[in-house]
Amino acid sequence: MIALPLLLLLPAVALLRAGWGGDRRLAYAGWALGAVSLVWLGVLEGAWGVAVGFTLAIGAALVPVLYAAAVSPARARRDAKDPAIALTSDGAAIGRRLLVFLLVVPVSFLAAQWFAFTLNALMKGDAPLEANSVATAFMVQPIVWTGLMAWQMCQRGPVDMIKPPLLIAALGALLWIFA
Amino acid sequence: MSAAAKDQTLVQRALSGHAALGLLAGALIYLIALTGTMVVVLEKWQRWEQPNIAESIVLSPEAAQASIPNVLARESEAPATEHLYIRMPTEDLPRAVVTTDNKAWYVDGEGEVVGREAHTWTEFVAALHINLTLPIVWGMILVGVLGVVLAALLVTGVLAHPKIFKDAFRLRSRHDPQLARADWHNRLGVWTLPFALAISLTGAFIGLSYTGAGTLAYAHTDSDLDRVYSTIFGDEPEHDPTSAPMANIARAMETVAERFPETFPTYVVVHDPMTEGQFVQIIAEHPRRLIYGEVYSFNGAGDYLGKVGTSDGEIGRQAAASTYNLHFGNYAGLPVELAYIAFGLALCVITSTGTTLWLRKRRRKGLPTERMAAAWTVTIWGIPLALLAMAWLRFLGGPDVPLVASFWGLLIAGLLVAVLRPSSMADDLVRRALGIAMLVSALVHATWFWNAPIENLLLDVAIAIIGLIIWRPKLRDTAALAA
Repeated sequence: MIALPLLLLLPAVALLRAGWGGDRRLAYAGWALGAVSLVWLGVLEGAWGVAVGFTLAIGAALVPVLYAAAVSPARARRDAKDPAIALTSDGAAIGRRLLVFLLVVPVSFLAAQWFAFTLNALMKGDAPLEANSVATAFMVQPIVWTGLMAWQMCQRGPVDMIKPPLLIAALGALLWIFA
Repeated sequence: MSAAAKDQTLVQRALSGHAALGLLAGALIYLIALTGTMVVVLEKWQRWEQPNIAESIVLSPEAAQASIPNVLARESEAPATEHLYIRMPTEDLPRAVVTTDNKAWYVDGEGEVVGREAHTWTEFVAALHINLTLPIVWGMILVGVLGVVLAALLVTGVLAHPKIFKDAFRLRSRHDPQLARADWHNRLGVWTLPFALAISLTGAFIGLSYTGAGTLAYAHTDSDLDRVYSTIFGDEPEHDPTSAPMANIARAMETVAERFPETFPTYVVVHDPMTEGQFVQIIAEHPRRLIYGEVYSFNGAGDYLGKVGTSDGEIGRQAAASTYNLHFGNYAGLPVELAYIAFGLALCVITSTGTTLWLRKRRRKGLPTERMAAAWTVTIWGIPLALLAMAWLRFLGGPDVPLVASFWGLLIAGLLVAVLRPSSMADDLVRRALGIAMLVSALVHATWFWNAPIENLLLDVAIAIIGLIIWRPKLRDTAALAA
């Protein structure tokens, strides 16, 4: 039973490749077929089926990518352009980087930990600790911290980076009030 | 984040943030990715390190029962053990292992001791991945933090990539080096994104659960971590230290085989053996599940007491028990393991090309780069070379050589040389040294252990092929992309 949805992932990737740079409808059909196959695997075999399906799909998608690398034509070296990444080397930059580190690592860690803790409190209410609320707290913490870190690193500067952990901490406080 | 960031678009800010996170943690993420790629086939490395141990795919309940006094007789002068684990033989590792608080011993199909478990190099590689060889709790927390940084790198990488679909299948490997590296970095990063997110977040969950458990324990269980973890992984009964005969694990194993015939026992655990309070747990794999197994509990007489519920209990238990196999890729046999190895190597390439791109941009700006580039060369090619040197040290010096201190000492020395004399750590030189060392090591190992199981020879062949790819002059341009 599992073989069919697994096999369908291969034409899904082939359609994606065929639609790339060509008829977009093929690419959309590829995404749709891939999604249907993964859902089908989930219905048949649960999380195990989805994990196996994703593994196969990633492997299948890498085949045309590696083929493109193998047949890539040699090109002359291009002239150097200005780098897209801004590099700073002045003394003040070191202090700024330290501040960014403090905001992104310890401050956001604490905000995510607080949010996970309050979510646990909301889920369990007055009851003792139990599996669902504990597992949720364990899983939510790194996910929220990841989101915070990515959000902060897209801000214009350290001052703007304070807002995301403050917002999450405030949301945590709200959960704590309702817990 | 620079002052110029104030005028940048979201894409530019995401790219700057992406670069900053990569520079902060790139080297450690590379070390964890490389060792994690190796750890996917941990049991195969264990057999590779100790090839001449008698193997048996079956350990009957009677043989398992008989193995315990045989092992305890070897440890008659050691302190009494409070835990005893029997690792059941599997296809990946057809050797039963009995582990006490003192040592671990291989036993054959009859339960006779056939040798000491001494795969210290394999354990060292696993420790690098799990806790960077630091004290276990702090090391796992640090690795968990690095998992979050990797996940954030993935998110910012996607945000910094506005042409993600337009470039989906373009890989200009023979274009100028900067563009080629960028293509390798971006294409491998995009297509392995679900894998990388899964392993980074499950790794972060495993490592950072200590901080979550600590917080919950402080608030709810008088700082007792065991009571927090027991909500997911089950509890142990009250301890009664009165002496008693050894637990009847044979009866417990027979019960699992009768009541749960679809499962495969992987571990038998005896808590407080040879006491009235002894308690037996059998961990059994469930086919086609992500969970590491269900835990079936028994008293000392082998009476079935119930199960923890990782297979069919609360969703939280099942989800938590599923993170380990999803992380290590051992949930669907060799095909998925090979896929995880390929994706893990891709993550190594992504990590190494990311910093190399930054270094080249820095050089184009006219900023001094030579020492940093040499240090990065030592990181990328020197770490696997040092791991290989530790394998040689293990084979020549025996299982008790200080691998952790030797590895870090060697790596720090290499980095110091790179900083002080960058010309001595040229990329080509170190890379070729690694390739040749891998080839020679595989040949020597295969020759020395010519009569070992065929799986060992296949691993030697794989090491030799990868060594050739890294070293072979014709493939130099491609392999060099990883630096």
